[in-house]
Amino acid sequence: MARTTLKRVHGYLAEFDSASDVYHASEQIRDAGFQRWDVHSPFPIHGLNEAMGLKRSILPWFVFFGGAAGITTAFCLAYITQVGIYPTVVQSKPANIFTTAAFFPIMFELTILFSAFTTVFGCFALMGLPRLNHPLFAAKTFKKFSDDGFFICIEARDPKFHQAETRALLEGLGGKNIELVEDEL
Amino acid sequence: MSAHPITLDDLPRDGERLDLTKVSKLNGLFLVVGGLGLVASLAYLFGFLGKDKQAEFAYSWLFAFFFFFTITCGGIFWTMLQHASNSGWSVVVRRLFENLGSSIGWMAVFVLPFVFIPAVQDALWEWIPIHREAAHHAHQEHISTYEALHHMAEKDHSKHILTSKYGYLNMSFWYVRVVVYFAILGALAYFLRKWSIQQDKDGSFKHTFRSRAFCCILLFPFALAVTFSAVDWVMAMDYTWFSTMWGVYIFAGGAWGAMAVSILALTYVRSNGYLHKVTSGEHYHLMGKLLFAFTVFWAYIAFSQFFLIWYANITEETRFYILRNTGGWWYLSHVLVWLHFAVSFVLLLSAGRKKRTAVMNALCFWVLLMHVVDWYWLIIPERGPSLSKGTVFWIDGAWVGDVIALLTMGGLVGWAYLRRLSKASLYPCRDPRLLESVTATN
Amino acid sequence: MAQQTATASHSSSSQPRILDREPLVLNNRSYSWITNRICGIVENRQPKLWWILFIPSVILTGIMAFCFVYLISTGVGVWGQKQPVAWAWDITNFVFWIGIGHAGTLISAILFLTRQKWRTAVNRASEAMTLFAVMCAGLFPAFHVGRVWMVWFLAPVPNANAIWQNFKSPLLWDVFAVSTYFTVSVMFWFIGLVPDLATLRDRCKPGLRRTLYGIFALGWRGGNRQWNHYEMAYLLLAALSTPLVLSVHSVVSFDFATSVVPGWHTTIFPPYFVAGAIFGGFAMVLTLMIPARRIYGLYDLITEKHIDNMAKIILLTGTIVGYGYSMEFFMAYYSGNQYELQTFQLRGLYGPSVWYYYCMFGFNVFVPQLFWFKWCRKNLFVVLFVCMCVNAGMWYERYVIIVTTLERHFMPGSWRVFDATWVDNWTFIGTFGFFMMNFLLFLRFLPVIAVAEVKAVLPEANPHHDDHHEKGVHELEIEYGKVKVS
Repeated sequence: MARTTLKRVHGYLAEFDSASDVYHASEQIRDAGFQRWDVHSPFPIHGLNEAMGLKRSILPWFVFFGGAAGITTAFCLAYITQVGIYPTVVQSKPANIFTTAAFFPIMFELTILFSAFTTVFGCFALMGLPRLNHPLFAAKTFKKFSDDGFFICIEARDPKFHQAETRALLEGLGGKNIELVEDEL
Repeated sequence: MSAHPITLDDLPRDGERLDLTKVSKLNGLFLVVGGLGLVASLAYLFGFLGKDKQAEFAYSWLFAFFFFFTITCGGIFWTMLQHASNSGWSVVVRRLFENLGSSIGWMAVFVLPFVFIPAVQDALWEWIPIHREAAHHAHQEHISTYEALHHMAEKDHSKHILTSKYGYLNMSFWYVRVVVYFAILGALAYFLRKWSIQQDKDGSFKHTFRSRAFCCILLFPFALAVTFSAVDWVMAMDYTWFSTMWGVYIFAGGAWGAMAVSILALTYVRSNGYLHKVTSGEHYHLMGKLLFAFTVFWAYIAFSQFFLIWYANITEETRFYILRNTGGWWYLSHVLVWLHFAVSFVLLLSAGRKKRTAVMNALCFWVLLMHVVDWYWLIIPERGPSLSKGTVFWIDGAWVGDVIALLTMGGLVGWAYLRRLSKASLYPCRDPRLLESVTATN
Repeated sequence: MAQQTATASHSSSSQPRILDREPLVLNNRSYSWITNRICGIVENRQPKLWWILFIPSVILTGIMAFCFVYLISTGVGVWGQKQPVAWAWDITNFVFWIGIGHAGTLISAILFLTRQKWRTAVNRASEAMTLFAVMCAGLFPAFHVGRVWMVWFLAPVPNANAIWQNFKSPLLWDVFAVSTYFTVSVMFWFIGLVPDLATLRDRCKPGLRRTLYGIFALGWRGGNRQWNHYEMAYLLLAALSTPLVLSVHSVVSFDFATSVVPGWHTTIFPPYFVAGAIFGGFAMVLTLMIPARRIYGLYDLITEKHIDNMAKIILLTGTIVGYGYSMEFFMAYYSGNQYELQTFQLRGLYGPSVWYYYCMFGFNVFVPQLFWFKWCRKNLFVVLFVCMCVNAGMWYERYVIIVTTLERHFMPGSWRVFDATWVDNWTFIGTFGFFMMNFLLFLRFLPVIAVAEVKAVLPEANPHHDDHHEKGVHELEIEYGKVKVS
């Protein structure tokens, strides 16, 4: 593939000194009405969801239905095979609905298994991962995010984004090493 | 999160005192219901309403007693747990647990009919009349009670099992055990509350440390007291039946009920204008999580006990569940599965719901109602077969006594609880972890 | 009343006293110090001791493999079990290992739900330990089936005659429980690893290592929009794993308790097995982490407080296990059931294997009582000694439950004492090699402590950390009843 020099602006990346700084900056950016921006930190910062104005994750709903699917699957698997197609009288247990207690361990395990799968894969889907490349990885200072760096990135896709004003905003909030991150096309 | 984070300066240094006149309506109601009920109960218990009624009411009294006794033990347990685990979040609600646990004194009064009225004992625990008869023979024939019991067992083999259990199930040891249970539980309730209130005055850390040590040391004796009291008073109603899980089951139910009562008490004092500075939705959420955890724990224990007995299906053990799956009791067993567990579980699942005080309040009423059902299911099915020698399962009209007993004890214990709340600050106001508790988040 | 007011007003004039919590990371270490110290273990050459442990572990793994090959090629007769002891060494070892595999999930899930922040120092290693222990555990029932190539019969698919598995059988529940547990534990472990893998990725030079770490880090960028879902997923997995961990050992206990065998059929088995598993698992975590802490110099991250807490949990769970033993014994007597009583008399008083019972009771109930004393919890040799006793004691417990019960069945004519063969012994010893080998490889390639989680419990990680300082005398408890101003 031939390399092109065509580039697209991804957004501004600003570094902050501490969790507390990035928290207070987030409150300002939230109040300024930005939508497409994110805080990158080495660990989850307590209360930052509210400071960024994020809604609670909808993951629990996925998981609820995952669990419901699990318990149904297990019940059907056990019931159809043991009571339906081949009534099996073992352990002196009846071959009817009242034998369900004996299926309970399996129903429980599959509920957990399906819920856990939905949790993990639902979480990845919501996070947009796996994704092996991203414009931010090309930024000079961004590597520090996984060590001790706190970053705010305001994306160019945001309707409020302005090349000069957004930079000024980030500077005003105490952002350092402000960098215009570009994406190679 | 408020703009100004709360500090110790915002809190009254001497805590908040409940003013009894503010709660006089409820408290008066408790006293009236409890007082009237007490008169009726005494009439039943002393046999003024006839021997049959007395025997039937013995079960009612045990049911009500055991309900409040296990909730009291739950209150003691939660106090102990907070001390033993050195936890911080719970300081502001700990006084509610302490006061709940202190109902043990009243329980020691309510237990007296079981200790002093032979007719009540005979009606509840079938082994006791047999032992009495044996003692009578022993006295006449100048042999030991054990030998007399052995002679009786030779004539009636079904009694043989009592000779194997003689080392545990005998009258004198039974009386000693009653005293020991109340000594252990009473000491816990008394000292934990006393030290906590002393700390309100002097603010010394000494009380925190010694409470912690005291709880750790008495955790095991506490477990034994709860287990064996449940064995003596409820499991031994059928002296042939046994289950190793029993103590855990009783404990799980009691701790569950105690948490529900504490949440209700918290809501009640808050609705009267107290504890607003120190407690918030976060504390409801934390207590709600424990309520949820014990819903699951209770279900786990209840299911395991049922499941293992049902699955192995050996005659020594199945009687307990056969009885409770016969006739109308079958429906009550299902109430426990679906309404006690399933409904509570689903309703308590949501985090947002746990933070809303009104919803939590309604849920706690539900939980308590189900706890009543659970203990009813545990104790009352024995009444019919026991008193009628196995010919009827349900004695018509005996439920009136059950209601009276429950209301009597509920009234008196509730009245005493509110009075106890007013005796000291509603939260430990000089606890060294107070601020940690006030600012606790999930 | 007047006197009371006087005291009250007196003390309200004095400064309030506040009891602080001990810091979870000592010496005010910074974020990057934590990153460097933990990632350094993976990036630098391993100390000699690592190789000294690794090589014998590989050899033992080889011996284990040899024993299994010998078993398959010769037949199950090379094991010591014979009627009536058809479940013997292998099932004992299975229950032993699966029990050890419980502490990891306990630390990651239950301590997470109860907001015990000190868990962050040890959760990663104990989750890894969980996986390796479950792997060891899974080997035994797989080979116990005899014809190991038929092990797919356990999976819920019909065989050639269209006959399905018996879903009412505890053994099948076991298959579901253990495989669910393993799968969920792997996912839990992996999700916890993702941010740390990103840290390792960002520290590597371009090359194979970076590519591999990069692939497994999935392109993690630590955005808060990701953390939002991530934290929810972590919470949900913790909430799912907690009942799961209870259920797994409960289901294992059902293998025994649903039967009518005296000594096996007892209703307290589920919670008592679970408590035992937590107990044994914690002992194994300490057994591994105390040396690791010393070898890699992790004193500031795994502090005395951490070890102290775990020692207390061992004391608590040991006492719960003691409660279980006592209730079993009491009910054997109280039930009036002569078979039940005789089983316990044979176990604990005059049977052929009473020594196993004494070892079990002594190691599990009496030895951990040392942890009542602060001095014992502080002295790491004592801690390790107790943990070793517990490790052994929990094995004895399973042996007592499984083997000594079967040795004396209903029919005295078939009574026989179990003798382990050399294959039994070496297979079991070999699994320790397999376990250690995996654990050492884990130390070599993955961060032993959850970097992101430890950073999150530093005081400066709280955005309101420097908002205000509470006025008053801040004090710290140094030992029972003694405080110093901090």
